[in-house]
Amino acid sequence: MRRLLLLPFLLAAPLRAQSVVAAGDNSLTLAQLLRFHGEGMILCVPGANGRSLGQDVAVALEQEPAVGLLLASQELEPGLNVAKELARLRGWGSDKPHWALIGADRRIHAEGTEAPTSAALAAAYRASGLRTRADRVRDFLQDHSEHREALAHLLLELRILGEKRTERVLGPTPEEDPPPPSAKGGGDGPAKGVGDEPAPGRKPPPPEDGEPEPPPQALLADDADARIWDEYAGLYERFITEGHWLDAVTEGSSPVPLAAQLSEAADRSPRLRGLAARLLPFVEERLRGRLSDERRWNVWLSLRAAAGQGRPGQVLSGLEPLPGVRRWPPGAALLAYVGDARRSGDWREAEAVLQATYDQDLDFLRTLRAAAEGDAAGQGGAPPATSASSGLDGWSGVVSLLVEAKLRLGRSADADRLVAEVFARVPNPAAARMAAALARKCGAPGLGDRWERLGR
Amino acid sequence: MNLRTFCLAWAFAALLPAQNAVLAAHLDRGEVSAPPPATLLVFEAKGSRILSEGFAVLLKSEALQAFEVPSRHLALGAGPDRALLARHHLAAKAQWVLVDRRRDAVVAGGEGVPDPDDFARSLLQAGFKDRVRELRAYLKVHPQSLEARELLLSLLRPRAERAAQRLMGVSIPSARERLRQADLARALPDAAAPDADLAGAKALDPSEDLAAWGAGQELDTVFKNGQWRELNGDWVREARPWTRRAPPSAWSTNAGSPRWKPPCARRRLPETLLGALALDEPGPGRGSPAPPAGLPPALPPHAARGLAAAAGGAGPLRVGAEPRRLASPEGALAGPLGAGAPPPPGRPRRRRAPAHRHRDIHHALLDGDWTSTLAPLLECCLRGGEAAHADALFLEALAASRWSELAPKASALARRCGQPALAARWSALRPPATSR
Repeated sequence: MRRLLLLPFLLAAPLRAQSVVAAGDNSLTLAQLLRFHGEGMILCVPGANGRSLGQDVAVALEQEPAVGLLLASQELEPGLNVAKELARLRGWGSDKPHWALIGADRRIHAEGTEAPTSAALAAAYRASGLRTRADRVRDFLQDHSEHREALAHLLLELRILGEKRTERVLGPTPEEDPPPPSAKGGGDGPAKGVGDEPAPGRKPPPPEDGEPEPPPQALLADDADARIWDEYAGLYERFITEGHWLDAVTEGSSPVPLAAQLSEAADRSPRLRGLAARLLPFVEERLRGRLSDERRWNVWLSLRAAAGQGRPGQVLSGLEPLPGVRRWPPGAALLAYVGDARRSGDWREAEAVLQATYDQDLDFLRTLRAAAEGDAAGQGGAPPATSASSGLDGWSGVVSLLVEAKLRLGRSADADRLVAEVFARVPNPAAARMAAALARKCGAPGLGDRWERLGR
Repeated sequence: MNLRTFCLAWAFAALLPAQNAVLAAHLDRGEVSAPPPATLLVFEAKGSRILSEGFAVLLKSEALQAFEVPSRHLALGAGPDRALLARHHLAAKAQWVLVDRRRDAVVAGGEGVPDPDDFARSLLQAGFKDRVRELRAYLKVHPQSLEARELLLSLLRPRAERAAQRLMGVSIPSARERLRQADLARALPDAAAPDADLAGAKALDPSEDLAAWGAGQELDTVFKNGQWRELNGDWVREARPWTRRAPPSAWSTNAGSPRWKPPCARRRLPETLLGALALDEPGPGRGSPAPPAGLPPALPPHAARGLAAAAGGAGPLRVGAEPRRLASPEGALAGPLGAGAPPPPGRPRRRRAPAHRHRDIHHALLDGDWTSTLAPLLECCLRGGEAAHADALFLEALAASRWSELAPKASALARRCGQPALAARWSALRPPATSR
């Protein structure tokens, strides 16, 4: 029965990975389609009766041993020029469905009219002389071992593969539930009379002064862990400790920022958990050098998630705001607090810094207003119109997060006051709708209804 | 509209998308900040400019470089002065006062132009901040803060430029000043500096240069400890266009110049600073096309020069430039260097416009590769005393290049680097299959 339950998951991954070249792409040529696939790819064309091998091929590609190829597959609608071009290469008839392993030079290395097994695909690939993306990067790195982008490409390839293999061993990562409201932290509870009792069955908050408790997680056995993650772990450690992720400026398309984040499956690997714990102090040191760098925080968050230790407040401890800076902590740190709260379910720290940021924004706005009024008075003119919202005083990202934090902490009355305060300053119906949606998301439908009515 | 009103209007108009990350960064860095704490009021008899001109000189003095003091100059008896004089209980005579904005009270004043240090003290007492001093103090406590170092360098650079101009005896308006003067064409980043700006500029001797660029100590540290890669700032990537036209004595990055040798031998400071500050070269994306996608960020040529000069060798540069050169997707330059060295797998060679069909584009790309990759590498080797390596690199590139301008450009570079023999030999060479 459990296997049957897993079946949709097993099918879902390949279906997500598989894409169909559909109508509208009729100008596409085979050369264009293959252009970005130096490693080759599998193309499928359905038969006249509509039967397609695409789904079976995609499933085979997700299984051992073919999963290691990280090969893309694509199904082509038979009427498309690109499908006809493919069929002409080998004189395929339209009666049967076909699949082909094809290289970027349009050479077909293997083909068939029945779905291949994973082993058959892997064997055909080995015999083809094609090289996987990961192998091509490895070749490249032998000559250019310091090439940062190539290192990042290889890391991403290994990471994708490791995640797929981990999922095959342990099953898919359970989807995380939205963080529950928590009654801890001195909250004054849900607003009376609005029906916002916390939903039953939510996980208890972490201990008051302890680290957040990681959810129970199935871990890879040592041999599987070594087989799946060893190469990735070694390369990742090198990437981080050699500082390849620290450049201030990278191209927008660079794989480096993403590769610098540890795999999300790391918390299922004892090897990667240990690595994360080892690297965390080093990354924290570099993070403290540039607290406004969201990319560095993302690396830290990825390590922190795997290591299960470290808090944003600890990173900031002992540091002072830069002279002349208006906001502390920096915006990127704020997002880290929120990310940390979302993951752990503990919103206490995040709520405090969000509140401080909100107060700083309002102070800043008050200063500007007072200055403008002073100017106007000094020159005998009328005070400047301040009816338009500056964005700082209305519904903003910070307000939204602060309301969420208060709701998650069970401080519904505080959240209600905050929304009323913001709406009084800037009565924006769209903001009321957003607040209402947020309340419902946080399990406070009564507040949601009430805030929705504000906008009417 | 004065500064405060402008700030407020700007906040209302521009902050609407408050989640805008760029804007948030500006706000975080205090670039949209509270208004200045005090205003300077200068009262003078109608037609007199003695005090005004005295203050103009005073505010540009060394001691007051850190401050931006808003000022109003009022002619006595003209009307607006009367209300202000009455409001602050002042006699109707030529004088200056510093008015605290928050308390609307006079906090300092006098009849003659004050001493710069005294006036600086008055400004600090009135609540003005010397951010350079603050940042230096901050860095003593938090030496790891890259943001503080970036901010400090961004403040030091214009100071150094102003000091250099003062010593050179020229006055070149900043982009902001040009915009203020509605001289939009000249304020554009790529606008060439008019010769008129530099007419009569005095050539600086090494000690004057060091005096102007003494702030470069900060940069020297940054380059020596390798932090430059982690620093984000215009100072490392952008040139001031007008400086390219400045007298070489002051702005040249030519580390081989005899005039630089004594100070360089002692401190290695000027070349590091000048090279890093990009004083003679347009940055990538300015005069040259953007580097091809999918490759490591090109090391800006000017930064490369700074590195070459500072390190006295090619090591640091190669970290950035060699892999990029080897992975260059353009056949002309990549070929040599990269026969068997493809671009990173999975990253196709995107720009393969056939030269015969898109000759202009092709030439532009080649020029871009030259500017961003091969030229700094060659220069690095030449300046680092590795002429043989530079020669090998050049010949390797030339062997597979179809670019007719490669040899002349390399030759000119060799000449600039004090290698006339190599320059002569390179200039006589041509690629085997020169493109037309």
